[in-house]
Formats: sequence, C-alpha cells, structure tokens
Amino acid sequence: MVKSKLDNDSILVSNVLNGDTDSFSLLVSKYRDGIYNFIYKMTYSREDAEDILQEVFIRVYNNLYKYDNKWHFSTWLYRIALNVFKNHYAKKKKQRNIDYQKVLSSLPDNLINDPELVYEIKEHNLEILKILDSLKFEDKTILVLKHIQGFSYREIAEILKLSPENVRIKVMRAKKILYKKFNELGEV
Amino acid sequence: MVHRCNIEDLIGYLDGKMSPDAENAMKEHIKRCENCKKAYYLFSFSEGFIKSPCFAGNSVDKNIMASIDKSRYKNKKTSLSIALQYHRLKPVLKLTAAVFVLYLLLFSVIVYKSTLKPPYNDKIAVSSSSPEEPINTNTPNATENNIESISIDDLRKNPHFPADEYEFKELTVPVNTDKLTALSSAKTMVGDKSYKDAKKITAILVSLTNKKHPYIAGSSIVLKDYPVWIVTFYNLHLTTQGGPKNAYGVQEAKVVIADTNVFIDANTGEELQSISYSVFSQSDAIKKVLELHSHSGFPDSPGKVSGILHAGGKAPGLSIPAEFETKVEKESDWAYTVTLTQYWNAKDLRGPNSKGPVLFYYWKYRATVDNVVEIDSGGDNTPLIMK
Repeated sequence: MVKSKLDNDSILVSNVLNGDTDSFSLLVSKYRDGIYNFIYKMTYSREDAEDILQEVFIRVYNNLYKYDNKWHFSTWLYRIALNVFKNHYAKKKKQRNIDYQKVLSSLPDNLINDPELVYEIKEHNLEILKILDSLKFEDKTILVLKHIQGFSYREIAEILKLSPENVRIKVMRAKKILYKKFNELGEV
Repeated sequence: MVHRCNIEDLIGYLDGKMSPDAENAMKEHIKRCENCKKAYYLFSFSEGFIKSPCFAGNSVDKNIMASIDKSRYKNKKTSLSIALQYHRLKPVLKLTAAVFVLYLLLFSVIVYKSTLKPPYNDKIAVSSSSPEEPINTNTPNATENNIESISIDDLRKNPHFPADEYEFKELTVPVNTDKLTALSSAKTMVGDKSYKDAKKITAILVSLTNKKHPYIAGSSIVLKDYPVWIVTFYNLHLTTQGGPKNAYGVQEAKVVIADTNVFIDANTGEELQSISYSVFSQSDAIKKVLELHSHSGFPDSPGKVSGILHAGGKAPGLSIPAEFETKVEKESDWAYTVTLTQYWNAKDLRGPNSKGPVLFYYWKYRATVDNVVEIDSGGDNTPLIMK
C-alpha cells in the first residue's frame, strides 16, 4: 500500500537533509538493533553483522536525499540493509566459517511457544540452525523478514518489491523446504 | 472435525490463523502425533531463534556517526545540494517539462498550418481537430449521477482499513466542500482514464482518525476526527511499482485490478492521501482455499467436474470415480464462503455388482483477503478423505 504521510521518521529525515546530524543519530538509535538482529540472523556472525550494520547506515545517510516518504522509512532501510548484505554475502559466501555451537549457546532457553507441545529433541537444535543457514538466499531472507520484526506480508512485499500474495506463497514454500530438509536428517 | 498430518494446517496453527475450535482440535492432534510434534518443534524453534533479540555493541553509534560526512547536507552550494533540490522538485520539473513539450507541439502545429496555402489549410481545419480544443473531448464530466452510496459500516468492514489504524465516525459539523467538488478533486488525482474505466464510484463524508499515521506529508494536518470525503474508484487496472529491481534482481511490474480510495479534505477540497489495494475476487477466494488447504481435483471456478477419488487400501490403493464440486457465496467485497464437496457412489467401494447410494463429504471455508478459515466439514465417511 502506498501512503502519503509525515511520521516521526519523515520529520527526522527532513531535519537531516537540512543539516541536522543529531536527527540522524536518533534514526540510528531507533533502528540499529532491529537491523543488527536481521543481519545477524542472516550471517550468524556478530563481527560481520557489526561491519554490515555500519555500512548500511553510511549508505542510508549518503542516499537519504533519495528517500521518498510515500514509503515507510523502515522498509526503505531494510531494503538497503538487504542490498548491502547481498554484496557482502556474494564476496564471503565461500569463506564463511560459522561456529554454530556458539550461536546456539547465545540463545535464551525459552524459545518454544507452547511448552505443553514440546518434543524433546533439543539435541537437534544445532541441526535446525544449520538447516536454516543452508536454505537458499531467497528462502532464508523471506523467513527471517517474516519473523524478525513481525513484518506483515505487505511490508515484506515493499522491502522485496513483490506482491503481498507472492510473499505469502514464498513464505509457505520456504517453510515446506525447511520441513523437508529436517525430515531428511533421517534419524531425527 | 477431521484432522490429518497436514503441514499447512500446522503452519496455520502456529500463525494463529485458525478458528478457536480448529485450533483446539489441532493442539490435541499435535499432542498425539509424533510427526506433528517434531514439525511443531522445528517451526517453533526456528521462529523463536529468528525472533530472539540481540543487540549491537555500544560503540556502533559512535563509529557510524564518526564515519559519515557531517557537512554533506550543510553546505547549500554543493553539487549534492543541487541533487537534493532536484529530487525534491522532480515532480514539478516533470510537469514543467511535459507542459513545455505540449506548448512546443502546439506551436509547431500552428506554424505548420500558417505556412500552408488555401485550400490545404481549409482541409486540415475540417479533417482534424483544432489544436485549441481540449485534447480529450470524450472525458465525461463529474456529476453526482456517477456516484453511488456507501455506508460507514461498509468502510469499517473493509479489511484494508483495519480498526486498529482507521476510525470512521459520522460527521456532525457542516463542511465547505460538496460531493461534486470532492469527486472533481479525486478525478484530477486518479486521471481521466481511471475515472472512465472505474466500474463504479462511491463517495462518503466521514470524520476520520488515523491512529497509526495521523500526519500528512508536507502539511500540518493531523488526521484526528478530521472531516474527509472518501472517494473510491472500483476495479481500476493499475500497474504495480516498476523501477528498481527487487532483492533478487528481477524487475516486478504487472497490471492488477484494484480499488483506489482518495481522501479529500472536506473543507479545502484538496487531496490528502490515496490508498490502492488489489481487489479480492471470487476466483481469488477459490484459489486461496485450494492452495492453502491442498485440495486437489476441485474446479477453480464454481461448478462440478468428474475425477478420481483415491480411496485408500493396500498399495497402489483403490481408485473410484467421483465428482468434485466448488460452490461460492459472496459475503462482501472481501469475504467469500467456499464449499468444496466430493461425491462418490458406495457401490464402487463394494464391488461392481453391488448397489449403493451416492455419498458425499464437504468442507466449508471462509476466505478473506488475509486468511482462510475452515468453518465446517462433514458428510459420509470415506476410506480416505482426498485432500
């Protein structure tokens, strides 16, 4: 949905474009953790996530004059983050050396929605992390965007320049692939 | 309620998109079914992992602020400032360029005509429209006859105006703009072509509050109990956003059938916002039901077709002739009840010489723009419900 609106973000953007860098600092504070979390869940690496995060905000600042406030600022920001991540991913794809155990140990214990339905396969958490990481770029991106911020299909569609219906279908497809790979573990 | 190990049902359950009854039945099923328990754990853990918070280091803000060029938007004489002004003025510049080209064309035609000698000049005057005339003389004028009525309840039921964002109230104070003026302003916004192509047009005067995005770009207006005309153009053929490629390098651009709502300031007659969304058709509803619930054999439009029902048994299983029927009832522009029924003859299950009645099983769904909910199912037992 295209909306014409002037929200707080648009005011801050306008201030930055008039030379007020403090307003940019406010935008960084507001979105840095969300973007960082998104990149971390894509890279599984805190170091890479911090490097990419910095590059994202520098690119946002340098291109801020191109931002059109008929779009949500957050979706514009995530689109830039995704583009920066893509460039980074293309360069480092073959050099990734992920410590999945470290990723797993950093997680809180209570990740499951309904403890009543918990199936005791915690020893397979590591495999699930690996399967998620092994998904194709498109499938992984769409799953992370779906759950990271509670984005609606419409907002994800804005970020990826797809239709909301197309996004819904791709989310379902990505989940089916995840399920298929999980079952292929065999002894699980 | 019949429950099977269906991955889409499970995903729907995790997304909270089931009716309370279906949700309870699904939960009981998961408790009993080891496969679904495993799948539940997989999706629940994956979602929990993605959602789990993690925070950037404290030095990140400082590093970012130290890395940006703080003078970038301060010096008004830089080339960037010119680029910024260009981006801000882009719509105006485009309009100016279009007007300039139009005048150039007009001027060329006048000069060309003046260089011709009679009788050619007369012939041209007779056989073509005069350049001084309006370019499109077929455009209908906006009249109140073109507008249909709509109630506030209709707006409230529209899922594209969710209650947690939009609030519509009856307007109790007089306003300066009448329906015709609002329609003219909205027509200017959507253009003559959309105005002519619209299947129907409605207009309603309301007091509008936008709880999430109350501010209007470029003005001090706050959408809180604000008097607006909402003029809606139905079934327009709109092209979706083209331009930059998407994240996967593919340029998305296609024509969709959509409704466009134009919000007009009821006192000044100026356009405030416009919101377009794809139309949810009967065909969309059926497709959504068939896709989401993996039904096969049923027609994707209302009607009945013949097919084969796989009735279970030892491999390769028994296959019997059956009929598959799709029925649709429209509740509103955004909600349909879709009923899928399969019919088979009991004799086909018992052998060629036996007789039996025609049996059936049906599923009834309510499909809306956002989701599909199974509201009923039942009928005769069959060895395997084909889903």
